[in-house]
Amino acid sequence: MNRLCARLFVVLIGVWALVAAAGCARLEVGPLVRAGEPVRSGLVQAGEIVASDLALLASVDELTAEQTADLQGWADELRSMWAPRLAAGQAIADYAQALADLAESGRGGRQAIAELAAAVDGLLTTLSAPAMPAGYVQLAASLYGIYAQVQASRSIADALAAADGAVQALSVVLERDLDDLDAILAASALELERRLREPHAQLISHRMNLERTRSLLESRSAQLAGQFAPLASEMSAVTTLIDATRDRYEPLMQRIAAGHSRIASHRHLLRQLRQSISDFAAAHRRLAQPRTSSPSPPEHQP
Amino acid sequence: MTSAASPQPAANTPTPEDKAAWAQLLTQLIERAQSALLTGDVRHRLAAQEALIDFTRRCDPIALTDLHRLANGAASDLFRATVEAALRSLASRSQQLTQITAALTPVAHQARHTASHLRLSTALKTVQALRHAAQAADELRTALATRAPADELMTSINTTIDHLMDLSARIDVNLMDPRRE
Repeated sequence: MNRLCARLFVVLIGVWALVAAAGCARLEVGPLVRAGEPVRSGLVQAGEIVASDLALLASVDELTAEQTADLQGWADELRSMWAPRLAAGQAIADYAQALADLAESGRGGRQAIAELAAAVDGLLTTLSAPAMPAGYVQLAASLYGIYAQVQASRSIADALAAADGAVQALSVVLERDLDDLDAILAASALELERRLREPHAQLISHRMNLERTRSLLESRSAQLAGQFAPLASEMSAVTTLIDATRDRYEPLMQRIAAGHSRIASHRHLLRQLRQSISDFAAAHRRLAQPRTSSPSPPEHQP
Repeated sequence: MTSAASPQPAANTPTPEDKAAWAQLLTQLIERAQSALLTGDVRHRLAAQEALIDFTRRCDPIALTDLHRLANGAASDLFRATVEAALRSLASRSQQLTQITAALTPVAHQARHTASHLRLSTALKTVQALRHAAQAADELRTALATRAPADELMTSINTTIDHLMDLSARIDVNLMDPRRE
């Protein structure tokens, strides 16, 4: 019995030494896992918001059937070609989750042995055989807990090294995609304003002329300090004319401002997504670097 | 980006009567737009589009109808060019993206396998299958010993066979590939 205990002690020390060696390379994947989900959900949102903004342009009054068909066609084309981006986002989230599972399985080694021992005990009970000695189960749980931790750390490091080329390449491609989406949105904001203004150009011009006239009268009145009464009546007439444009002009300006605001908020979402992708790739590179022999495998270079 | 409505004239705005100056300004803007289209630079295209729209904001649509219409048309052409170029650019990377994504999937798959292996899932399920088979065999023995009715006996035999088949399948799978569940 003493010899058995001594052997077990030696084994325990040996495993402990392994852990000490692997402990240096223990990798904290939590931040990486948390950075993966915003990439997936952001990509789901990104394609749809740009397609919906193109469709919004199609809803502007007084477009020709051809213009409407073009916009709807572009929106449909974008939705269709966004599918590989959605798959990429899902793959990133799945990969991050798999790393989390691996880390969790490493931490849960003792629990796994406890569950297996309970199952074996259940079997022994069914067979009316004596249960396993509790001391052995505890020792096995301790040893296996250490083994699982070491093995999980190594497997995480291997996975990071194997995936880093793909992750960096995905980051580059997706960032270019977001640049393209941003260009569509920037151009759409301008085009939306143009299309809203064009049918009402005369009204807008009339209103702007009136405002210029009022501004001129205001500066003249200030110079003359109210010496000439006729300016007051002119000012009143201009104000009445401006008021007469309000019911058409102001809703139009509000519609233009709302369009700009909507598209600006969508461009902000794209910038946030770009940052999430960049953060994920950088976090991945930091974790993978110690085990990566070549920083970016050539086969994934875009 | 400029505001939606800008009642104050810009510093370089010609007077409404100076049609020649407006025409010259529009010519410059259209040349700039053509140059942006040729270079393919997105920022230049957007700047040219914005300059043309700014022209339409300031140019009198009644006195200078033709210039107004020309500027609108050129701005619309730039918008179309930007969207079409962006869609082409996206399409050109779709296949590459699919290939890269495919490279990531086996790594995740392998990580899940290892996690399952470390959780002793295979061993646990095999022991559970063994236990179910032993329980079923024990119940069958009791049924035989107590001379249970034929239908109960048949059910017990079928249950035992099912559990033994499940156990056999697990052992076969593990022998062929110990990493598979």
